Amino acid sequence: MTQSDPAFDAFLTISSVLTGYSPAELQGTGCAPEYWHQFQQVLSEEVRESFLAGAAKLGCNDPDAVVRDHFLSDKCHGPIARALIQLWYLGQWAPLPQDWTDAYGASRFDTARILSSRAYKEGLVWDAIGAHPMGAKQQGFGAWAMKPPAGRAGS
Amino acid sequence: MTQDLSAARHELCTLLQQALMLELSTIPPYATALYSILQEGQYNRSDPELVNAEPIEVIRQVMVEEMLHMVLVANVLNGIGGTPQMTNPDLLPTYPHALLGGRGPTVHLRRFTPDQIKTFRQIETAPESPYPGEHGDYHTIGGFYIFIKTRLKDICDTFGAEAIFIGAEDRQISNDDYYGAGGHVIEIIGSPEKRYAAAIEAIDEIIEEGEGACLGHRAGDNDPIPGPADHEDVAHYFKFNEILHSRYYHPNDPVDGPPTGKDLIVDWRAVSPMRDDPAQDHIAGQKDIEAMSHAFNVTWSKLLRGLERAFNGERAALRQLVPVMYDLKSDATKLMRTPLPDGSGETVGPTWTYLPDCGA
Repeated sequence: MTQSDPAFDAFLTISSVLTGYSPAELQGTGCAPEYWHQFQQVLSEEVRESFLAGAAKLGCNDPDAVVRDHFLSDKCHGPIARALIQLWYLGQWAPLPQDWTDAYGASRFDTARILSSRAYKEGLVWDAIGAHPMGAKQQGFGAWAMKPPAGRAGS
Repeated sequence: MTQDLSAARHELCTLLQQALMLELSTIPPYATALYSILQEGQYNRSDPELVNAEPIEVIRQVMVEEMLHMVLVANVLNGIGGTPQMTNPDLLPTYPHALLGGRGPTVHLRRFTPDQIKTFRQIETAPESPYPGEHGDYHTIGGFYIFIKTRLKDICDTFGAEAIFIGAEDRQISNDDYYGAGGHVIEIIGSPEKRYAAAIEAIDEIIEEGEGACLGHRAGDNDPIPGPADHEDVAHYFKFNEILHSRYYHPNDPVDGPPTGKDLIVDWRAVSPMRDDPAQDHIAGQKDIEAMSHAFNVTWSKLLRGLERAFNGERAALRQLVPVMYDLKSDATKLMRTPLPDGSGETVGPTWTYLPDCGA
C-alpha cells in the first residue's frame, strides 16, 4: 500500500462521505492503512473495484443521491458501506450478512473483532459523543468535575 | 551601578518574565519529539508490545519538570510584585527559536531523532563556570539563572528585601494547586528574609533539575522519582544522555562519565515521519488539514490563557488545565499521523502558534 495509491484515495473519499469526517481526520486516527488492509482482505477484487468506483461519482452535484443509490441501498455495496461505517466509528469489523456472503463470496477475515488496540482508541464514536475510550486516552485528574466537551454530534 | 528602586524592580521583572518564556519555549520542542514517538502496538500489528515506553517516560519527566520550573518562576515573579504574562504575542516563542535571545542554541521543532536529543542535551548543558554568568555573560540556561540570582542578591542588598518582595501572597501557586513529578512547588511567602531565601531556593531547584550544575559531581539530583522503585532522579542533561547511550545512570555516576546503570531500550525507527519545523505553508490550501492544525493551536492558546489566569491570582485555573494538556497531545498526535499533501511520505506537525482571538 502506498499513500498515493488511487484505490486507497478512493477508499478514503468514500469513508469520509460515509462517516462525516474529512479524509485528513480519518488519516489522523492512524488507522487508515489498517482498515484499508482489512477491506482488501475481506472483499474480492471485483467487489472492491465496483465499490470504489462510487468515489468518482461523489464529485457530482448530488453526492447524497450517490450515497443512497450506489452505496446504502445497493444490494452488494450496502452491507459493505455499513460495515465500513461501523469500522471507523467502533474500530470493529462487523461481519457481512449470510445472504451477502452467499452471493459475493466469504472471506476468513470476515469475522467480528476489534482490529487493534489503536482501532479501539481511535474509534470516531468517542469524538462524536464528546467522550473518551474507557481505559485509554485519559482526560486527566479532575476532568470528571467539568462539563464534557460537546463532541462532533453535539456541535 | 547606580539604579533607583523602580528601575531595579523593573529589571528583575523583565529578567523573570524572560525566564518564564524560556521555560515555556522548551516545552514545544520536547513535546513535539515526545508525541512523535510511536507507542504501544502502533507500528507492529502482530506484536503489540510496549515499544519506546522508556524514552517516552524520560522525556515526559523532563517536560513535567519544565512545567514545574515555569510555576516556580511565576511564583518568584509574583513574589516581587510582577505580572506574569503568558499570552503576549511579542514575548511568546516562535520556532525555530534562538534561546536566550540568541546567546543559547537554536531549537527547532523536530521528531524524535538522535540529533534532536543532542540539541536537547545542549539546551540543558551546565556552564563551565558560574563566574561569567554572575556578570551577565551567560550562554546557557544555568548561566542565565545564575545571573538572575546575582542581580536579585545585589538589588536586595541595595534596597533591602522588604522593598523588593512586595507581591501579594495569595498569588503564590502552592502544592495544593499543582501536582507534578520530581520536585515540589516553593511558595515565596513569609517575612522578606524568608521570601528572599525561598526565591533563591526556587532558582536553585530549577538549576539543579536542569543541568545538575551544583550537585557536587553526581548525576543524581536528590529528588526521588515517584514510583515503586523510588530511585533517585537525575538532572535533565543526564536524562537526555541516557537516551543517547541507551542506558540509565546510576545516581552515583560521576557527571563526566557515561551512564553505567540498567539498559534503556530505544527504537529510533518507531517514530512518526513528521517534517521538521512544521509550518502553515506546508499545508496551505488543504482546508481539512488546516482545520486540524487550527484545532491544535486553539488548544495551545487555551492552555496559555489558563496559565496566565492561574499565575495572576486565579490559582484554581491550574488544575483545570490538566485535561487541556491531554487534548494537546491528542491533537498533536492526529497531525503527526496525517501525511503531507505533497506525497513525500512525511507527515504534518503542530506549529504551536498562539491565536490571540480564537475565543477558546
